[in-house]
Amino acid sequence: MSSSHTAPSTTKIAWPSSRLEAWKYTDLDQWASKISRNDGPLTPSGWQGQPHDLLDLFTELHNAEPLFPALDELSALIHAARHGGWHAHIPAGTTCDTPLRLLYAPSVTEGWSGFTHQIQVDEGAKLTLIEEFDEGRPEGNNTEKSALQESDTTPVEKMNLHNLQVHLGRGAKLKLIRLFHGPAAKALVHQIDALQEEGSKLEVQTISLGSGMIRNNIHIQQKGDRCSSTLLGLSVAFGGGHLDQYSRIQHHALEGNSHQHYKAIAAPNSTTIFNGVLRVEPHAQQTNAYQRSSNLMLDPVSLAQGHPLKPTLRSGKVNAKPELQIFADNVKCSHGATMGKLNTESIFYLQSRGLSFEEAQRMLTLAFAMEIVDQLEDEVIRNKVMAHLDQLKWQ
Amino acid sequence: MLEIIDLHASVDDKPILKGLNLQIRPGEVHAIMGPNGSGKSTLSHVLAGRPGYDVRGSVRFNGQDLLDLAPEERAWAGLFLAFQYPVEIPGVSNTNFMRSALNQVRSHRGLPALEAGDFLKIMREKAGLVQLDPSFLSRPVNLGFSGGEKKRNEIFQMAMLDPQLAILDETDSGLDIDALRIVAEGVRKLRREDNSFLVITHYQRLLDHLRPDIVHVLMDGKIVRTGNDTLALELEEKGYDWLKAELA
Ligand SMILES: Nc1ncnc2c1ncn2[C@@H]1O[C@H](COP(=O)(O)OP(=O)(O)OP(=O)(O)O)[C@@H](O)[C@H]1O
Ligand SMILES: [Mg+2]
Repeated sequence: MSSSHTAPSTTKIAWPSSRLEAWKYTDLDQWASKISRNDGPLTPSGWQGQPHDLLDLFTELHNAEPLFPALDELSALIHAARHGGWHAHIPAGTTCDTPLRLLYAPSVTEGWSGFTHQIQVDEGAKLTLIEEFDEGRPEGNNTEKSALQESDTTPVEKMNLHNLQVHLGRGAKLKLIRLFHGPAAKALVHQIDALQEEGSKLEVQTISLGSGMIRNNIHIQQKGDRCSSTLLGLSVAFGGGHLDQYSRIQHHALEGNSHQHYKAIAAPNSTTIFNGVLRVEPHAQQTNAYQRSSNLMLDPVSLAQGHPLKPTLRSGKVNAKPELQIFADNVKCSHGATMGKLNTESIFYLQSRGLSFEEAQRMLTLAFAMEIVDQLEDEVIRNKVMAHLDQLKWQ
Repeated sequence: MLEIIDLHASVDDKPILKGLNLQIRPGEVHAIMGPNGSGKSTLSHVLAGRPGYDVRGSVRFNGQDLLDLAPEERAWAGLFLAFQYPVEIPGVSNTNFMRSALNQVRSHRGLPALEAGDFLKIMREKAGLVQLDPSFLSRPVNLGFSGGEKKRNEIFQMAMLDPQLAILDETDSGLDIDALRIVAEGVRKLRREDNSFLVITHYQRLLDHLRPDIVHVLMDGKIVRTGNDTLALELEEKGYDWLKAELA
């Protein structure tokens, strides 16, 4: 298939402008400036789904209609320029006991490519979907170190854009567990657009690890009463990585629940962003919304210890921006965003027992991350994340 | 083993240690007493290598220039500080902490890393020495420990790392009477001809158990008096005012 490769076109794309509040910290235009669209065909190995007896779900979607009209410019852009995608439809009352696993290994070698995916979970149906954006790296191949070095020199040469439309019917339940692991994926933009009907439950757990650029949008509209949305996330940026976590939850109906907990770690020379928009519309009374974002910035060893070993390294950088727009009066909303560095007392305590600064930093950083990792509801993903974190050089 | 000559330390231009001299030989137990704020903990921090101090003077530890070493290098060289205020570390279990610490220290002392089984055996044995309930080993370091439990955990860590010179900064404060005896027993069992202790305390009770060879009084950043254990008794009885008067 790859033999029918066509030359990349140079179509100019109107990427979201960084003048928009939502794109303040990630200028896609800049990330994409060296990238042209790849018009090569998508090979069927672009993703792999585990065969599932209940699910005759996956169809190439090149021409399929979206579940609902695109909700913003980015999703419209991805849809218009998509290479493909998949579609899953869980009929009413169906419970899928075995989680569905998808492994993304996009075959595009350069340029950018767009994918639109759709999940429709009908009334009372239930599904767990586990997605790995791991670029199909071989298991146990310890390339963290080289990825870290590579990232500083090689430019972004490909970009993957995914838009996942989710429609949850009354009382439907969907759990999404995702691992974005990007040493190979230099640039990934993922956007979930979810519509929730009455009494539906959506859970999204996301781990982003990377030395490239990842923008993770989670847009949720609670249309029906008594919906619940639970978001959990951990971003770990290292080796020059730029990880931008953006969520927008809109409560339109009564007694909605949303619960968000994010943590982010920015290693030296790297950046993480958290922007959480919570909007409670005037009639969304008795909404209960909770949002917490804890962010850790790591110092380079040279700075922490006062000797100029690697003067070019800067401390990790964090931007955290909760945005609460509350137009209903009878609601319970709480939020908290913290950012800080590792406690120097703790580091000294560990060092005084014989741990090197790097080891002390590693131990405390992993402890910070584990609060989220422990809550991952899939053991396979959890073990992978722990293995990745374990190998990571934080300097 | 330890030789401190004319040690000065200040924080933000505020002098705290003002020309301190002290010598400790192998096998000795020294006690340091002194009023609140006189600089005892600062001395222990400076010796352990805590950042944030402007330090001048000379400290030699077994022939090495101690002030030149990073905190972990001091630990490898055999120095241990039992903190006056042990730090709580959420998310790191005592066991993991001690496994990493002990293996690092061992590797720098030319010893092989311990097999998991051997490590657990040593850990249980040392926990037994200070009667630290094994359930504390799987808990995060010091998190939610009572004051006395933290102090016991310090002595447990000391027993694990087997230092040449251990500085105990008010390890007796916050211990109940039984715990004090247990900790003192633990220290006594760890005493050898080739290791030494520097015990900072306000109270005679711990010294009753430990029988220090030498007692120092630290006031206003200097050692102002050195004697034997009768000096401690005298201080216990009369306080520090007579000494201040004598020095004035
Ligand atoms: N980081 C610091 N910044 C400012 N002052 C400090 C700092 N650390 C210590 N000091 C001051 O230095 C003096 C000595 O403090 P230190 O903790 O060494 O006393 P100490 O002898 O251990 O007292 P205690 O018996 O109460 O434990 C005190 O006056 C204290 O306030
Ligand atoms: Mg003190």
